[in-house]
Amino acid sequence: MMMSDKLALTKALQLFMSPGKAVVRVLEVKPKSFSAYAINIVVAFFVSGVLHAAALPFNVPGVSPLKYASFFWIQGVCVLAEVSVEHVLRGTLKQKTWWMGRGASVVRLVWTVAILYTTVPIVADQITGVMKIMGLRQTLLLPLPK
Amino acid sequence: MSLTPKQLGLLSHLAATSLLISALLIRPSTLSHTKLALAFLPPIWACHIYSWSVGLGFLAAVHALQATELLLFQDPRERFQVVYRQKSSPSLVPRTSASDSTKEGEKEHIRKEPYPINFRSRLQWVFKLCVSLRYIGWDTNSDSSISQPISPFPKETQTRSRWLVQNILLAALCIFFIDATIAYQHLDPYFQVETPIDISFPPPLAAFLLSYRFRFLSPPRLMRIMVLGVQQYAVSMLINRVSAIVHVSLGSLGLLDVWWGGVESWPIIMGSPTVVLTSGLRGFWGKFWHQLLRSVSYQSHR
Repeated sequence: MMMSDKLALTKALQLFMSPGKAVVRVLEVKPKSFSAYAINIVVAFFVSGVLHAAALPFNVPGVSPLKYASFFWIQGVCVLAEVSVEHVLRGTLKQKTWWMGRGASVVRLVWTVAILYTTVPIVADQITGVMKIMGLRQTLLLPLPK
Repeated sequence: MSLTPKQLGLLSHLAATSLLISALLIRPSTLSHTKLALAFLPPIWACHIYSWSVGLGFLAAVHALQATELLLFQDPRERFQVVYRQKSSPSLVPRTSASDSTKEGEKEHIRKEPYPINFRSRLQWVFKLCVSLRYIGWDTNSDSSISQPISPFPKETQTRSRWLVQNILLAALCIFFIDATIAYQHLDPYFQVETPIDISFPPPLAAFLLSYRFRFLSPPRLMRIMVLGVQQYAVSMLINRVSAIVHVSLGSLGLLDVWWGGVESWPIIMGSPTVVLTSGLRGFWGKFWHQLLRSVSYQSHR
């Protein structure tokens, strides 16, 4: 292999430092910028969704790997929305008084619970779908109801 | 005797793992980072795709990404080092090594082991790398925070025996919660037949919840989400804690070194839920829920 080809190949491979970093480099986004951080979040949740969907057994009636993966993709979108709002409000949040700090904590808690309450049924339906086919496990210690 | 597709898939997975270990055992002077990735990643991916096709999806997906991370995204042979922490008296600490003071009369001696030349040491080094999905006990020469342990236990005050007692109790608590959630699932039709998550509790279950003051969990959806969440949490925690207890016990008997059997090598897999108050949903997924897949799915820039 020619030296120039080797260099080109090495450079091409260096693009892929990690899934998120690769996208950041391909899109020529400044590595430590907010945009790069946002891209990393989206890619991380996308990869996580694919990994979890791969865990589902094949051909189980009523169980959709796409729905399972979509739960993680939705979480990625929600996390992105959250960090975007915090990024926009960062000036205000830096000069916070004690009541603003407590208020922000309450808002974060309500937001997280609301998102999980709304979206977890997507993934719960897929998990219970598999349970229904495989059957429930037996308890080790507690007596089962008759 | 013919093998079933699942058994063949498992053999394929073992072949992929052997290929990854073999690849990392080859010294950089023999095969460069680029050539190593080009030579070994295609057969490793082929093996994992086969494993995935016969139903070993999660195993295949995680390990395919781990192989890609180690052979393509990172260059562990040139950049990674195993970190050993040892507490010793000041007179035993060599002057050349990096050390931090911890307690009176004791110093934490930190030794870093780069890619070894000796084959036997290299084999151990590579094996440690392949089992370290979270890079705990590794210096990855990265600006990322993924190598930081998330253990809530303070380092200095935690003796090995106290740690073992705490963790055995924690494992027992996990078994109790797993059992309790399974028992609940036998009572709730949502976990047994095709029903929507918001369907009302059957009368006997509603009466049971009422009698035990669980009325605050009255929206059925909330109860079902909590049951699934607690079960997933307890299962992940139990697997992690049982491995930790076995390794730390063997370490305390002197059968394993500090890297395998040290308390600090086994941080708890889950973080504190209070992180939601300071970091919201980002904190829930980034610090509270397990971080097993972080190294293969996320590279922090912050």
